[in-house]
Amino acid sequence: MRAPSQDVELARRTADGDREAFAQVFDEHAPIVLGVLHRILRRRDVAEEVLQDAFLQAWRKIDNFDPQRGTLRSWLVTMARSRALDHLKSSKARGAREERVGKYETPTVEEAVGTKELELSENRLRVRRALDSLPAEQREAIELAYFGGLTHSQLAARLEAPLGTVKSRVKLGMTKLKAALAS
Amino acid sequence: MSDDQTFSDLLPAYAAGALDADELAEFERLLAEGGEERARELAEWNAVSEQLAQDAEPIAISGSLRADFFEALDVETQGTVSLTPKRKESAAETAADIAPANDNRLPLVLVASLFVAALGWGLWTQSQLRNLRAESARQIEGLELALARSESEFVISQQEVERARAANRIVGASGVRTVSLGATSEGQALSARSYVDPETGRAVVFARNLPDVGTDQTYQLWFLRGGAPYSAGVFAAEEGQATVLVDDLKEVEGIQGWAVSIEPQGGSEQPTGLIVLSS
Repeated sequence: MRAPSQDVELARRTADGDREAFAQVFDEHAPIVLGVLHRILRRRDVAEEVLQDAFLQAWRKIDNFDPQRGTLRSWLVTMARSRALDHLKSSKARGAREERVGKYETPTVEEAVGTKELELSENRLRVRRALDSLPAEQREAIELAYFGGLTHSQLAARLEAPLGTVKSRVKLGMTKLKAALAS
Repeated sequence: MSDDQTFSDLLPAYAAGALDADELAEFERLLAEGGEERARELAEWNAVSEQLAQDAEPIAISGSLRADFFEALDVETQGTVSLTPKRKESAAETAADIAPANDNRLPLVLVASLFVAALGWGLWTQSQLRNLRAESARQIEGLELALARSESEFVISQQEVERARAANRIVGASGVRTVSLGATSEGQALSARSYVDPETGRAVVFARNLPDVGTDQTYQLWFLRGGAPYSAGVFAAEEGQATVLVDDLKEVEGIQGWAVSIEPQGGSEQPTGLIVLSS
């Protein structure tokens, strides 16, 4: 999916130093980015800190956004996720936190509000159903990778499974997820 | 395996963030070498990754977090402000410039220079204070206006919050029943989905890509029971989207389907206009 024209326009204006355009980008995407960061980092204060770093980076590096490769939101989420994982790597608390990753937890954060957020609720339900439709071992591998930051070899060690098996689980699971989300 | 196959093979794990460092390096090499087709494939998988992100509960951004961020952005874009007035530096430089070495008039010149500098500094400070006062008055006026506006928006926001919470409760209810509504005319992108909580008899319908209707017209939601349509309320679309909450649905078991029609402003007792969506 290529970026909609609105993304391209907002990115162009941001690159020109238009703060109002960037404020629109922030207001539109920060709630979902913060949600992802909170899921990865499990601490609201740290997630908020990383969110600010990530959006400052986005302001500086907006020229790197390539609409041919995806939407502005996917670019922002990827960048923020990468910063969160960097943070985790430097955190000593990782061992304890990993125990909690991979299981769907009922969120305890504030309820989302507004029309956009309602739409997100609907999308979220769709994503959750698509994930729930996967075999448990594929779902677990994907969640540990995406929200836990584990790579193939780290997954193999964590799940005590052969590397090839883990790669297959991720690939098959993601392929099924893609199809489920497209249907 | 060809480069294209390798690239396609690595894409799902890339989207999941599972590639090891060597795999990631290979992936990035192939992406850099590749053309539009690889960019297109990547965009498809980035969309999956983006949707996967939505499995995380979005968190509303607090006013203080937003303010903190934009304050940090201000520092980023404007840099730190020097507290040393440049005019003072200029005056000091001037005094230094006009004072020849070993001149017996030096003390007098220095005193005069200091006097001029102090006078200039005093005038500059007074002028700055006047500007600051005027700017503060403007800011206070702006804040008062913003406060008045915020107070009225707050009431609206509270209603929105209540609506959002109600919709979230319905969507997340156990046993929720979902029905998709599609466009009745071919080639139209509009769609909707209804969620009914049989426990409470409440429903929410999310509709999107609704075309604009005339000012004397409105959308009306219907549910079908026993083959007959019953009105579930009229609604307006905002930028093609609408969220309709329905309270107190009786006999949820008997609901056979949903439809949306365009009716005269105020709604109709029975559908009279064009039915644009139906299940």
